[in-house]
Amino acid sequence: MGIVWTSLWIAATATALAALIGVPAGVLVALARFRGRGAVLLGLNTLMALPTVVVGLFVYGLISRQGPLGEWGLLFTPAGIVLGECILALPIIANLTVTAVTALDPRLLATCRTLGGGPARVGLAVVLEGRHGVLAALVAGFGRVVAEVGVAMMLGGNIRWYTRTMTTAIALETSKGEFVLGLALGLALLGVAFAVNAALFTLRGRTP
Amino acid sequence: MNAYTLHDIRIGHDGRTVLTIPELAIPAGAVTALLGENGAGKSTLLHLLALLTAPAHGRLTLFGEAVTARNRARLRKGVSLLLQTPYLFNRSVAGNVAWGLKAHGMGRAERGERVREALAWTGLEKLAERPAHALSGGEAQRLALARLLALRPRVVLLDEPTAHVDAASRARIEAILENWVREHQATVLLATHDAPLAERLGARPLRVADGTTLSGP
Repeated sequence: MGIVWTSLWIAATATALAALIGVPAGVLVALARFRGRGAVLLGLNTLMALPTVVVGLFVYGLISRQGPLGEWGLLFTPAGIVLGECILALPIIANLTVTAVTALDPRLLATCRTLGGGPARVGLAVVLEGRHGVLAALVAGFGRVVAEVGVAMMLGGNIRWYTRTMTTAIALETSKGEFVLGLALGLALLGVAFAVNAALFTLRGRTP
Repeated sequence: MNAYTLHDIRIGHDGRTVLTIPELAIPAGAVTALLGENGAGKSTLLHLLALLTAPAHGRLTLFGEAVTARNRARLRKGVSLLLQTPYLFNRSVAGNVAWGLKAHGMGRAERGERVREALAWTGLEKLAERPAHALSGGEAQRLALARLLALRPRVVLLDEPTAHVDAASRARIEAILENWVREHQATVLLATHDAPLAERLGARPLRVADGTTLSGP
């Protein structure tokens, strides 16, 4: 149960932090017309396929004792995993937010502006009006980080009762030949994904 | 005094010019009717005057102040445009009216008062708590009008406000507009095919044809 809880809170925190940056960034990229916008979109698309071990390696370099953030003591801690998973979820949330906002009715912007909305209020209205798409972006980000193993293994170190998550536990049990336990943990992970999607489904059903 | 002056304005879209206005003045405190065929450029002109789009070339002033990229957002607060088919926020009728008032920084008490007043003008007070998306086409247009009039803008721009509603709704919207124009000294620009409505509102006609504006009927 401890492993499930660790997995859940680490993934939820990483997703929340990524949303704080990714949703406003996605809205900005979707609405603003600036030089290099195409390159930013291409970059976001590319980063969606970012391999977890590459993120793990990059953040490892940052937070290892010799790294620029080494003094913070984040390596092999849950906070270290949160940092890595946040980087992993960020392009997914930003990119899917861009898609959600771009799909909104173009009259929304004209309406907000002609009613006197400034950039922040217009941005908020866009997120609220496109809440289903933004919520789907958050779920996709959460799904990506709760199921990943590379970052959790490299930055968390798979320490029992501390940084061991469901995915690193599955990897460990499988390597020990404990297939049944590994499979049970896999099913638990699937159950978590199902519960999150069911919650989203219910929420979407309730909101108009 | 003029609400707007336009000098050598050119508006482009996808690399081609869609509207040219050599010289135009729109008087303040009066109703002006933009008359013209579909596609003549009436909506384009209204979007320009609503400060939602910038001209590719030329000079536009609003109440004597030249509109620039820096002051556009501030000046826009005094101008409101009613779209031909309005966009309603996914919230209640009252919430829709309150949105613009919040954007103008109005306090809760005054906002509540303005919302009630605007809904009373437009006959929507009994529907205040109803979700906006549950309204009929005519009610939706009246809500959009209430949302706009609640702001008491100096300039009201109306893009064919009765084009997509039934006869009963058209009569109600026309009555609201007639009352409002009589009671307020705002500058009103009305794009319409409905010449009798323009006449009832005492509007000065301004013809838009083939992507250029021509004064007079």
